Amino acid sequence: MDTIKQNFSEIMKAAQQDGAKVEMLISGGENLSLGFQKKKLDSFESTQSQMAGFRVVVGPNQGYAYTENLSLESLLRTYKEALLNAKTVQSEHTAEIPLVKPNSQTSEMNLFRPENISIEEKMKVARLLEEKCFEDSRIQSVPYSGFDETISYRRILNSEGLDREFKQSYYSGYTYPLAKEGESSKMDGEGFFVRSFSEINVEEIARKGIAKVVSRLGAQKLKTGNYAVVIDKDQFPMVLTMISGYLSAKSVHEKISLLQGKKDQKIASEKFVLHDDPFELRGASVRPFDAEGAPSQKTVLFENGVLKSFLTNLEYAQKMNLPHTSHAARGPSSTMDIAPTNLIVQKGTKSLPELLASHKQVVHLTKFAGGLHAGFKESTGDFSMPAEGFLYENGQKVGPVDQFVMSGNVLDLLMKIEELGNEYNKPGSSYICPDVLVSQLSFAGA
Amino acid sequence: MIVQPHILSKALDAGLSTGADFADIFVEETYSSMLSILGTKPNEAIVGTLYGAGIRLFFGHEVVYVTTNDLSEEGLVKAALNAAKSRGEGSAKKSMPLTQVPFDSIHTFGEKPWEMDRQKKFQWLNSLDQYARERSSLVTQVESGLNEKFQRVQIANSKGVMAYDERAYSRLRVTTYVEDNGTKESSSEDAGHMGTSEIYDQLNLKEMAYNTVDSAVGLTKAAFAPAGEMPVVIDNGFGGVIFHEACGHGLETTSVAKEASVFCGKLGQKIANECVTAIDDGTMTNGWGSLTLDDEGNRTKKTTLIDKGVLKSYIVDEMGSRQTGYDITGSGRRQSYKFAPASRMRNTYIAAGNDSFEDMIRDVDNGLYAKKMGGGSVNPGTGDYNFQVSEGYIIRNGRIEEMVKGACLIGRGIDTLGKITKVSNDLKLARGMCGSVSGSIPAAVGQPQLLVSSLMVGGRAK
Repeated sequence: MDTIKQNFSEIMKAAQQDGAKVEMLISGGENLSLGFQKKKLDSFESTQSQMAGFRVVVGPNQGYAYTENLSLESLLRTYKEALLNAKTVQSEHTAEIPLVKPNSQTSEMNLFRPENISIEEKMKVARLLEEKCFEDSRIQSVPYSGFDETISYRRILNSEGLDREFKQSYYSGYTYPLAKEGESSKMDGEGFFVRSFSEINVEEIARKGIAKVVSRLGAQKLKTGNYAVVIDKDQFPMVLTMISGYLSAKSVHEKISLLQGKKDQKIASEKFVLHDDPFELRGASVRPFDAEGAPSQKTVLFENGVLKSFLTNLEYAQKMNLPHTSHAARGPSSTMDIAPTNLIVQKGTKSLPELLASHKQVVHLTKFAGGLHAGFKESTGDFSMPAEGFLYENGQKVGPVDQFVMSGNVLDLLMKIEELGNEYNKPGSSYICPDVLVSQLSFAGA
Repeated sequence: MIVQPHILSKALDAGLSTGADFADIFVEETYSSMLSILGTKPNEAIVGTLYGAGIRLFFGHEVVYVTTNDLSEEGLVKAALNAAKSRGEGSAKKSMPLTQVPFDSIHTFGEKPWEMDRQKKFQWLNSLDQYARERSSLVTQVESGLNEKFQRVQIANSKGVMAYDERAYSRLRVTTYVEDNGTKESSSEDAGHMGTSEIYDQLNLKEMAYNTVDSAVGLTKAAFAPAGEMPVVIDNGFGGVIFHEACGHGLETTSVAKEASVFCGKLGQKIANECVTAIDDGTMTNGWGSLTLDDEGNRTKKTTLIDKGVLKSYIVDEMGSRQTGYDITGSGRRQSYKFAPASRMRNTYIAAGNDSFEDMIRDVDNGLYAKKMGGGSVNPGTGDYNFQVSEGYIIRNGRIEEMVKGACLIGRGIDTLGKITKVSNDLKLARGMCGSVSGSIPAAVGQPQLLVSSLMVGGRAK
């Protein structure tokens, strides 16, 4: 028996005496991060982390505590704090919160593939991510570029006898050059996420980063008005981020989700089909089990515009009498939540040029300039998002446009989806999307 | 004291063993607690402890950073050696003998989060919940929460500095959701400081809860803001987020040293109207973004960034000083030991001017009064910023008129600085969490009311 299991058996004994059930979530990992500035190594960060988080269940109530000290003494003390927290909260329900039982099977996933790559080779990737950008004379500097190698693991043990572990390794990187021409300056870039070092193509990443940023030089202000818009496949994830919180059964139960009471109703365009798939290897959120140890499964969320299901964990499936979809989500230092894994929007049949030629004037939105916190209100679904892109007239590019705000309501946007593109965004995102044509949205510009 | 000095000295020497010319160690033990009420009942309770160290080495302008959870002599020396071996090939150096910097915090704390009676904390949260529900029958949900943190840090470096500091943070928040004829809205308020939670005994919880209800109910009746360029009066307090986003980030040497800031090379130049003086002050007693010592062990300072429109200083940390040659301003900050420090803002505000708020409004024929600001972001390389107006009003013929929603302000920092034409005499500060390369940290923003002669307002096209 390993040390973690031995320590957990001591904690289980304590929980039994306290009349409680306990779940221990351990997560940790190793990360190497390299960054170059002005052709010299600028940062070399090597971090290791480990943390244990307890969820203690006393009847219908649950409390949490966490620690980075994994000695038995520290774990027992942390368990007691979680027990005290469980006795502090008061659920409106009386049914005991269930823990996942060990009798279910999880799928095999072999995503831990450590490779024997020398530090010099990793440094070379980090160096080239900056250096390659200077092949275009309009690149003034590369303020942000870097390479990361990550190993992460997660282990869940509970009073029911469950003990599950998942380990994965991957590489990621990015380059964000700053381009200048005349009075116009822009910063944009490209990133990658791969499971094997040999898949890294620095030239392609740099080329795409340069192409993105220089294409936006000389942008003009967009005239205020209503426009048809193609939200680029790399940007539609922002729209999915807006709705992902609404899909949680917990937020429906807490009367915060805008989708409350809308299950089995048609609330999006006929062409909108959305799945959640934790097994899709193109996505970044792959896992064999969720944050309480339940085996992962695929879930149909929207079919032909109809909302088919909410995401649940064991607790909310029971509370709301819904199917259990295995979407418990938490880290050791957070309380239990529900969240999607890889959200996949079904592709359409049209090419990007066809979408851009579908209306007399079309804005091709290629960049949301700020995050959700800068323009989205979850309680109403209203958004006013600063963005950049290109204006097209009769399918021909007029030029880059910036300093505008695209406004609307996200549920209204889903209804206005006219067509979907026939290509997916690059792998490595938890949102797998094609280009999406929306019939009309409000644009505030000049 | 978290780790004995002789152990820190050994770890620093291990860090210098392959040619690094500077080493420092940041040791941290942080207790955090979060309690919340939802649907009138205690809903969530979580506590926890962070415990670890970050070791940083400088090889010229190159930074090596490693972390460990093992604070034993063996653990720290091993981590420091790993850091040293990862880059160095040069000859070993020795750290200076450590001299303890006196622990004379400029802040005062009451009962620590784990000492204070938990029932008392839930009483504050209950009061917020009940006041919100009694204010209007349109209230559908109330969420109130209390976040507390108590951080103990120990910092030692190869120049012989050894420092110890304690930081406490407390933040009380309430969000109210309302629904009127199918229209849903919400509004939030928060209170807090760098300190412990006893201040809420004196806080007007009723007013705080009522404000969220009144704002949310008002928004259910509000039309969308118009779109286009117009004069904007930005309220005091959290309105200072415009300066934080539009200029503050571009003044951090984290951006300046990379030439990723529009403010590079502009020291001594006029970058704003004469009515603008901006300050970044880490020394305000119990201020949300204050520190006694920064996360590099340097004493924080009050730094004048812009004096009457002229750029006077950047925000400078140890590495920023090395790279740019400017003096350290005590601004090295990080979320936790898991992040290497970077130059970051503390309490950043535009100083009070001589204009009156009433005159400012009277000067506007057709514009927007941005009373309550939401979140925002900036691209430091270009200075392009955006931020949300969570509660705005139309100004028509010199009077504040109807409430509007959905407004977003966008612009370019250096342009906006030149368009600030009036600054009121009523300075207020507000709390925010600022995210950047060294994580999410408490930072205060502030300003008196400002008139910006022309700003792009993103509302809805007609």
